[in-house]
Amino acid sequence: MFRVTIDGIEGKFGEQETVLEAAKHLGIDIPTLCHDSRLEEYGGCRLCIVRINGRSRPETSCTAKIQDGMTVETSPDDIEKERKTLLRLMTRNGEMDLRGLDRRKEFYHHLERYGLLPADLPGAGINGAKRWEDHPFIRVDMDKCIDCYRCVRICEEVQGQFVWQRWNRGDRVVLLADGRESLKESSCVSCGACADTCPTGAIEDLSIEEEGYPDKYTRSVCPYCGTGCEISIGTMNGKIVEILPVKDSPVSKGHLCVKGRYSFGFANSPDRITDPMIRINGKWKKTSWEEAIRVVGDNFRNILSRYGPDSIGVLGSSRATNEENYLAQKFARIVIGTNNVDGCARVCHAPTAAGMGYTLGTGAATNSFNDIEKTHTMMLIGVNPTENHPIVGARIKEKTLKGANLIVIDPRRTELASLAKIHLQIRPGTNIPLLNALANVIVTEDLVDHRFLDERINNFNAFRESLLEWTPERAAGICGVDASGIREAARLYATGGPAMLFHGLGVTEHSQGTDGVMAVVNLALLTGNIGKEGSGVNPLRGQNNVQGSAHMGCEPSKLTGYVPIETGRQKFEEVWKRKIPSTKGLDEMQMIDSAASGGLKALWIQGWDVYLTNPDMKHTEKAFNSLEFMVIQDFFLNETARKFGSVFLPAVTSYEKDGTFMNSERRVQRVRKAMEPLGNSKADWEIIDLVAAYMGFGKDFAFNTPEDVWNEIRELWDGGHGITYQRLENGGIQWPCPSEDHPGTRILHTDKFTLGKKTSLVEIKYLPTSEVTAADYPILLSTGRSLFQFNAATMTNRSGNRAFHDTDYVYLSRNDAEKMKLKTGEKVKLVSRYGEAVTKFSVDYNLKDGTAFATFNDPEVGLNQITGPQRDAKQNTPEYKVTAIRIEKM
Amino acid sequence: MFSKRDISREVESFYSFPSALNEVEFCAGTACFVARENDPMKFSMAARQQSRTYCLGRCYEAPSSSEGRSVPRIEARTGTPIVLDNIANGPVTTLDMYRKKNGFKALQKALEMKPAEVVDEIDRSLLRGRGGAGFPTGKKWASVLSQDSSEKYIVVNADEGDPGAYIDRMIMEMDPFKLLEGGMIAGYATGAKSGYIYIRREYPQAIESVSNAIKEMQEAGYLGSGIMGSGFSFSFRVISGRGSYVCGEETSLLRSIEGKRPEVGLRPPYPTEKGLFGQPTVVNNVETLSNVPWIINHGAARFSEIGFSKSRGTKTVSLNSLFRNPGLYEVEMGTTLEEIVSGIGGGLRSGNLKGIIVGGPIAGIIHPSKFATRLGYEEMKAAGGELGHGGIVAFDENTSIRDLIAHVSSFVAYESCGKCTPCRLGSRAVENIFSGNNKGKLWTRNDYEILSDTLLEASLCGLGGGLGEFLKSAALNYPKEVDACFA
Repeated sequence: MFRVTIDGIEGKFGEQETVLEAAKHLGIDIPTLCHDSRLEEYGGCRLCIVRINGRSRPETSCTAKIQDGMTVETSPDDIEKERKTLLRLMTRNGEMDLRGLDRRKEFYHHLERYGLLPADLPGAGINGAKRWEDHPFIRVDMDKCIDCYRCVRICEEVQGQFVWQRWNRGDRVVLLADGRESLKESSCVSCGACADTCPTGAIEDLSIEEEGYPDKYTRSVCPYCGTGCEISIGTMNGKIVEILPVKDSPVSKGHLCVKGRYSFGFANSPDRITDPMIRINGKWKKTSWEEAIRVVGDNFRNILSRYGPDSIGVLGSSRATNEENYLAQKFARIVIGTNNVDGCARVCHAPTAAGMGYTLGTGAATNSFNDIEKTHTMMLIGVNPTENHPIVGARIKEKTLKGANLIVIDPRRTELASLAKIHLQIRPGTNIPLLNALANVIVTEDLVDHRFLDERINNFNAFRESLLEWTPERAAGICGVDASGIREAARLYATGGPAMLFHGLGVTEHSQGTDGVMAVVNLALLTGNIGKEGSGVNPLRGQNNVQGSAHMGCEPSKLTGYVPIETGRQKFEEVWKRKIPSTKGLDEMQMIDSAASGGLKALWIQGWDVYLTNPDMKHTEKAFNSLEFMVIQDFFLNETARKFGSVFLPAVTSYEKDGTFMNSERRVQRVRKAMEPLGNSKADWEIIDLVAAYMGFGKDFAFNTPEDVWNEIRELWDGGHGITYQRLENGGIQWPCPSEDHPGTRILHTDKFTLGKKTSLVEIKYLPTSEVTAADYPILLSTGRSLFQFNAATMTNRSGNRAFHDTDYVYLSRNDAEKMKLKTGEKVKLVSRYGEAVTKFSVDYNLKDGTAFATFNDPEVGLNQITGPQRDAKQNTPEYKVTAIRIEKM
Repeated sequence: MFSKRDISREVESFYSFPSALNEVEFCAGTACFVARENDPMKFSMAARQQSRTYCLGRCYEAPSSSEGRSVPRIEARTGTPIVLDNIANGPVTTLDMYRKKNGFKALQKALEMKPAEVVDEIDRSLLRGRGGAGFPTGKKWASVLSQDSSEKYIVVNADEGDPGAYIDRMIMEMDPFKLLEGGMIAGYATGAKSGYIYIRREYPQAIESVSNAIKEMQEAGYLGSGIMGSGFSFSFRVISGRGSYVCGEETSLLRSIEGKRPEVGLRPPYPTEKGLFGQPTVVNNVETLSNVPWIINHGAARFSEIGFSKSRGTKTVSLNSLFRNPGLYEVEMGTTLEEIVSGIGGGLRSGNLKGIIVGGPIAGIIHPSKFATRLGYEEMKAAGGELGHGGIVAFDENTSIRDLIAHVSSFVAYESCGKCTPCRLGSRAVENIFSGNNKGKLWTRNDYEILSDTLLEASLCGLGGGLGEFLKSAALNYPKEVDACFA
């Protein structure tokens, strides 16, 4: 610690701190403009100059490091005069049009403090000369630019996108996006970092210009992917006006993507359903909550009495809170009396939870996003973070640009693949041979971590033998990549450590999805890349609470805490004072099958458009048509509700309720209510409570707040016992956290695995998928999301994102496109063995011939008409990543 | 889908002359400005150029253009010439000629010493940087030598941008081997294996001469591996500037070599710790390195005996065309300005001397009342100026202080990198005041003082800071003329 005196006040500060930081600790406010703690030190605007004793000239406090015994004067008269002069210069001696300066931001405050604002400044800025107005979310008015270049720097240093550029020099500098005056037409990813950091309002959220400043900000968690970025929701009169990043968030570190930052318009979309509805004679009719709950309860009772509890299924939602998922499974298990409860993890990462759980004992990420800063090598398998987990993507990208090794295994040349040292562009469906071959190189070239294997692994020698047949040459033929590339990738991963593995749905959504996950884990175990900083196996989860929903027990074979039913039965029955059913529950895919064959009679679906997103829509349709009763709980009349629903219960968005989410790195984070529920809509937890009470279980569901629910969860889940709402105020806690004085766990398996000191490598046999190409279906299609649209686009389409991604596209290689004489933008018909769908077409110059990629965002396209019935053999997760198709010209 | 683009067009737009040379260029530098009455037509051509050329280094014949080739008068006005010892007797443009002048003896001697001994020799000589900052060269080398890094660089700052100076230009054109030998000794002493010579584009003949010298040395085995039978390897690369004054600032120069936008960077870390491509780097100017072979040959003691006070050895000064004897002169440190101006320069050809600008316009003006000042880093500062590069521009009554301030502030505004506010906007505000654009007299005489202080105290590098010094000295030495501009 250094002792420093600032403006006569003495304090002790960390030795790496700047004068600015030290002053801030003392409550001394030094004006700054070009400074942003998210960025590297810059020292451009010079506003923060201070006098340091013994130095000949003033120095910028944002760059000057403190020294022991230093004495600083922050605002002597002469410095104050110079600051005022600098501000005068920035306003071009008063010529700048000061209307429309952002009144919340530094520049406005400084002008006010130094008496440089005219008394009669009108509100909105309407200077037309230097405005760019083509972007749907961001307005640019360069008249208000003061050349601090925070936009340029944040675009470079945080997003790694390099869109903003400085052209020319001196006072002739103009800021351009990719050399042009348009953000919309540039490579901008609309993360909004520039608008957030801009200290004047030259780059501003359009919503602020159109609607004004929020009167309240509420800290919460993003409703989109599983990264768990923290958001600050700005509301005015109960409506969301703006969402900003939370600067001190441990996950997102003051950054967001286009979805978290701008795609909130859905919350106030005019087609929100805010009253319960019942379908009478095929038509929806608005009704009261009492009536709706009565209809739901009576129908469940009726079906229970006629067909028994296992004729009913409950589907929780990965978009609902932990508390709500907990209640959904509790409802299924004790009110209905069935284990037929599942969540959308079934169609994405169930193989991860199972595969990692099998080998390591915990089915969740072993490390944390902050480990990216500590790693030397990253290997990405079947995951495209810059589009689907953009904040993780940006961090991986920044780390790569700073020199870390990157290996990408993906059929597509994703943005990160284009930056990677090695990109293995494999044929869809051939993960197992490739992963086995990587392991083969590691063992045959003796790149293993012997010490780790001795201490932590049971069966290395047997496993080694089993791999010998998987030579890189053999895998190369199957996977369509070079054997030398496989060797290089294996060597780099094994020797360039600490090395992190990231995987996504490109691993899980296969007929060998769970096997794929275990094959990934094998690599980490062989090389000792687990249990230490900057290493591990790190699944990137698709939806904000997909980790939480299964973990809370929306899983037919698991109770809260991902505990097998029989292991947890005694404890749960004691706490619940109810019996847990013993019959084996159906997972979501089995429920569909059972309904189609007449077994399942009723289904309660919460926050999930199953019809649109499940594969093989014809099969789903048949199943749903066979149900006697279907309750849909959502905030829009989704496709499932529209076609099949019996009762519609209007839920609220996560902006309108309290609770917790769990992100990809096991972090429990606090969700806070920023606005009142729209109309008569209610939070899922309240709705479940109401139905339970109607059905006679009021005492079991007597929760007044989500915190009450959470406290019951804590009682049942050892790993979450120490996580109280109070402790979640800032940034959340990563489980396991067994007691209230436990700090949480950043890295799992450090000296032993959850399942014990030692574990075993898993020999994975290759069982090729039955979904293969044929003369009629020559192309292998994978489906996925895009940066601008999220899943079925329920939310993003209602938030202006169509401006970037108007409908679904299928991408083909240039050769294939030329062969079929297809032009970008034209409509084509995709035909598989299971159905047809019409999308727009686009060339992807980096795809391999014979492979295709398509998004599945547009309900009007209904891409899942063509995906098929193949599933992961162990977890029933659909094989979305492999469908043989042909493409027909329209 | 979102690919990283080439950013070079953006970086190129920073420079005045991103591409090829103009056929004929007219100089807009300070020496040409103060001599504009001698050929108004010629000087007016400079203002008409699309991009301005700030200093062709032909101040001895100002106002000047790039046409033809010319050589100034060059004399060693000291008993022990060190820098101009060869050139004073004509150019040394081939390896043979250089060898006959004891060329590479110093390198050979150095290669027989330990690197630390070479550094120590330079340190004991008390040689200081001739680019203006006056940092002890031995200390700089010692810092790089002490860095534990397999990659180190020698960067020769040959971006002699201060209008009025043409010392480095003549050294490079007429005695390039001496500079290169000095650079190689620096490389051997600090553990660097490669050198970059960043030469301003305004000196095409210097680029040619240095490039030819390097080629000859490569062919003769003086560059490459195992130089002169030792284990020492070294290579040189010549980098041509693209028209930017600020690239003479070392952080900016390094970024320019790296292909980045050459904005001025923060120090620390200093280039000796994190320089070119993030590696420890010696950045020395041309004249500094040209002293090195002599020091090695004759010993630190002899060098340190020359000069005075904290400024040892000699300094080469260049005089502009208004002097009776314009040209390049090597004088001992400690020589009085009076001796240089009147004795060597012979006073002005015509008109009355109003003041001199030493080391470029980005420093205080020296009033004739201060001509007893002796040439030395600290002494020149005490007199309100700078030693700088050693370019001396005298101006007479044809140049009003109003016009001079307008010229200098225009130069700064034009050359500012734009990173820091005082330099980017303050220089332009001053230019506007003094070129008659002080709309509504918004800026007052009192504001002038505060603007000067702000430039001096708040600027990031010497460009804005130097303008502040210049403005303060103008007000101090010519108060009536400055006051009149606000009347």
